[in-house]
Amino acid sequence: MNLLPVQVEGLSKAFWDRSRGRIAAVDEVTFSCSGGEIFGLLGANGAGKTTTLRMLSTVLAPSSGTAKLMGHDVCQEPQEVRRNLGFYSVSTALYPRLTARETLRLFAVVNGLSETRAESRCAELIARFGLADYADVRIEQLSTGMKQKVSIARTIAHDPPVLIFDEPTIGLDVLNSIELQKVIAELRDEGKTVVFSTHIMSEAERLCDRIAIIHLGQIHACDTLEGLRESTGLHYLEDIFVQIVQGIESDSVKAQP
Amino acid sequence: MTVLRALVACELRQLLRSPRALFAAVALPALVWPLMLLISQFVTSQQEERLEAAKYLFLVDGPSASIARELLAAAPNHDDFDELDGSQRDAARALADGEIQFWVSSLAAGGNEASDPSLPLFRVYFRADRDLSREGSERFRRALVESRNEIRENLLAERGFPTTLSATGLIETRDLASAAESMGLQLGRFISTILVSLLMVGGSVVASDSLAGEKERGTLETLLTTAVSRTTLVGAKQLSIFIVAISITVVQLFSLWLYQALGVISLPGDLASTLTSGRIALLLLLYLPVAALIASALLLTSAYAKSYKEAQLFYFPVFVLALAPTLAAALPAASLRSILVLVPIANLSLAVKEVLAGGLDLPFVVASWVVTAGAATWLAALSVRLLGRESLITSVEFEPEQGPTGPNRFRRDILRWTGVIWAILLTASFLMGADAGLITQLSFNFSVLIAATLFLLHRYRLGPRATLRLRLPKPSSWTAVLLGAPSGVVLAAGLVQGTSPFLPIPEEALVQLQSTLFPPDTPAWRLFLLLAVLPAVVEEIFFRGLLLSGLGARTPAQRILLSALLFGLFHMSFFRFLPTAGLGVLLAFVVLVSGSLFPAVLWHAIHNGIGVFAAEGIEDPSGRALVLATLGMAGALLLLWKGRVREEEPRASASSETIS
Repeated sequence: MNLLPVQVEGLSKAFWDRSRGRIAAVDEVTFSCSGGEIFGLLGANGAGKTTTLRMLSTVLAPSSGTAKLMGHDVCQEPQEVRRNLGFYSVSTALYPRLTARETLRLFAVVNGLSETRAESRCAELIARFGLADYADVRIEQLSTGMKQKVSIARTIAHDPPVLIFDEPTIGLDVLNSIELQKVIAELRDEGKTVVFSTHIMSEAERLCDRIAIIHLGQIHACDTLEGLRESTGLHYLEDIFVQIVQGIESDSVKAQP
Repeated sequence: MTVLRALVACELRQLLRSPRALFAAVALPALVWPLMLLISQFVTSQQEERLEAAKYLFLVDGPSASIARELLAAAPNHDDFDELDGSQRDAARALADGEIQFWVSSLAAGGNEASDPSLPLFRVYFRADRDLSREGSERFRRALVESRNEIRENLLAERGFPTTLSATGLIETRDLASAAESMGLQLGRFISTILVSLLMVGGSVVASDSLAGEKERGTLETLLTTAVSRTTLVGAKQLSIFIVAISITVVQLFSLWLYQALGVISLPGDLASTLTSGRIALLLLLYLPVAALIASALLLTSAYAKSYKEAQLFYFPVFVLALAPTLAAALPAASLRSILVLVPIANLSLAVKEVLAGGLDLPFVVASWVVTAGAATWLAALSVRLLGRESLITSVEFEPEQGPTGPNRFRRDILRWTGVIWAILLTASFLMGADAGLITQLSFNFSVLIAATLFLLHRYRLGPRATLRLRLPKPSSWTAVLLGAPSGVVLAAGLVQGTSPFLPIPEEALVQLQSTLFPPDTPAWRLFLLLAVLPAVVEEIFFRGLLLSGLGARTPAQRILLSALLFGLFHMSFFRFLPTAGLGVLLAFVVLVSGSLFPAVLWHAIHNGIGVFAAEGIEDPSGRALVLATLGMAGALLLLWKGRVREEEPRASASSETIS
């Protein structure tokens, strides 16, 4: 059986607001990703990207629908899901008073690696990201670029098959952000499944194998860049995005009596 | 285990790398503590010296002034006092201005309102808000009394009545407690308060950084997306706080000991004889659950707070909440053999005091240990639940199915409300005391329960009929009640008889129960109303109506046991806990099976009625009575079970009532 690493079906998340009542932040979202693929969630701020990815990482519980990672359901087996998952976002910080080596070792062990395995994995990652000279310096003393490298190494400390990058380049300068995109592409080439969210068109264009355009909690288009170009007749992703999103908004205006 | 160790190591490593936190938590108190002791010792000795060296100035006026002077002159310490020339002064003003320490107004014999008007009266005016005035006037009074006694004795001796104290008899007191034991009692009164504050200060160093700080820095989200389970996470944090709290406390106690060994400060001399190594080990064992509870409370606060700053804000009330129960040890009459055994921290503070004074009430000490450790576990479980809450990570509250009202929300909040009501009733029962009278106590309790029921029904917009199960049962239920209730009373009496060798109920507890229940002049109909009918109605409405509905999300067995446990706890008496909880199990079963509250009301009323009016008749039931009662009970339960009603979904019925 060909198991898809990420399967999301009819996933919804609603929340309660004192003044507005029930609000659907994510509304019946369905998609799946295969191994060795970068799947992009493209949407404006507040479109539901982060909420979707947090449900995938089991931090939020879905209101309805299912999501499976490597065949494990996020509600039934949250721990198994997280064991197979590396989650990176700007809000997932590191402990400033630990060194890079201690951080990597901690996250390898915490994600279920044995202590000896964690040790060798830690050495591997330090070599891979060129951290050797800084491995025993406290993270609070590292530069932003170095911190970012440690943070990525932390995400893949336990060598998980699925990686989630939630708007990873926010707040990074051009060079650091290109460096990060390079690493993500490398990880894809190693056969990892990458779910990547962004609101930056150029990033999505350059990096993603398939792009889902998400707006007001719903996915309105999901295809390769080529496919999106064909179906809309536009070349630039920015134009495609604007057309789709405006189409939805004029629809909803029309729908109102 | 590896994961837990790795997390704890990470936590401790970070603390050790934070020099400021270490300085504030360890070094500063280690310096400040002995310094404070030293200063207070210095101040006390200075004070004593000053009072000793002082010459007290005073004035004396009135017709018998010369007698006062004579008396003073005869006193051995008359040099301590100096009388000022009072002819030009207003004594009251001189005292107010601080020129003198006190003044003596003398009244002649026959001219005063004293108990024996045939004698002159000397009235000493002083000000208790000045040390010298208070001390001087007291010394003056004693000097006068002593010389008066001496003069009187001399006079009697001169007239041929040799009267010394030895002729009237000597009075002596002997303390049978060893020095260690009385020192132990003194120590036991306050040691828990000190240790709890040390544990709090020590634990809060890690706790605020632990979850609140991680939330703020974003490391919590990192941790929550790893494969660690929430339980392991809370366990690791809790263990870290526990370890640090205990370490810091030990360091502080060690520094105290060190300062004493170096002679910088001096502690009471009998301390060493009180604290034998066996005692210290026992004390450590007793304080373990206290430390665990404090760690849980701090962690919970930290998990609840949104930021580091907020966590520190919340610590103050938590400090007060944890310190208040330690004061139980300072209450002179508080004993472990009371409802206090069920109050976490207070029970172990009392246990420590009793152990230090040389006693060990093993079953109650064990019960205290279990209660406090249980509270610690419960709070830790709350932290685990809180970590599952989504508002930890996001600012919005994800509760689509649950508005602020409705049965689901009610079920979530019911235990919290029950706790609040219990605390109100417990406080009231302490404040009112045993002498408040039966009617006051009962009517207060019933009013609180009824008011709480009405309030919660309104607050969560619950339909009273469905929530309280106010519907008619099948006729067979009534037969079952008439059969079961009397059998239950007989069986309970048999149980008490059977268990009394194992769980002796102290005589005074029984006597107290009798006297509060039966004021001698209460008419019988009133007793019946107050002790049988009203409790049956009110308690059934609250416990088997509201509470049982609120526990609706659990399995029937859990609902029965939990509601019975709470019913037992609400009776505020250790010795009535088991019987009332047992009755609670029966009544909850009756309600769930019959689908109606009314049979339980009748059962409860019959049960109490027999207890009030026929208690003598059923004491020590015979073997035949027990067999009959067992059969009766079995028949009643069978009848109820056969006629059982399917539980209808209260959510649907309640919401339809809300709309109407």
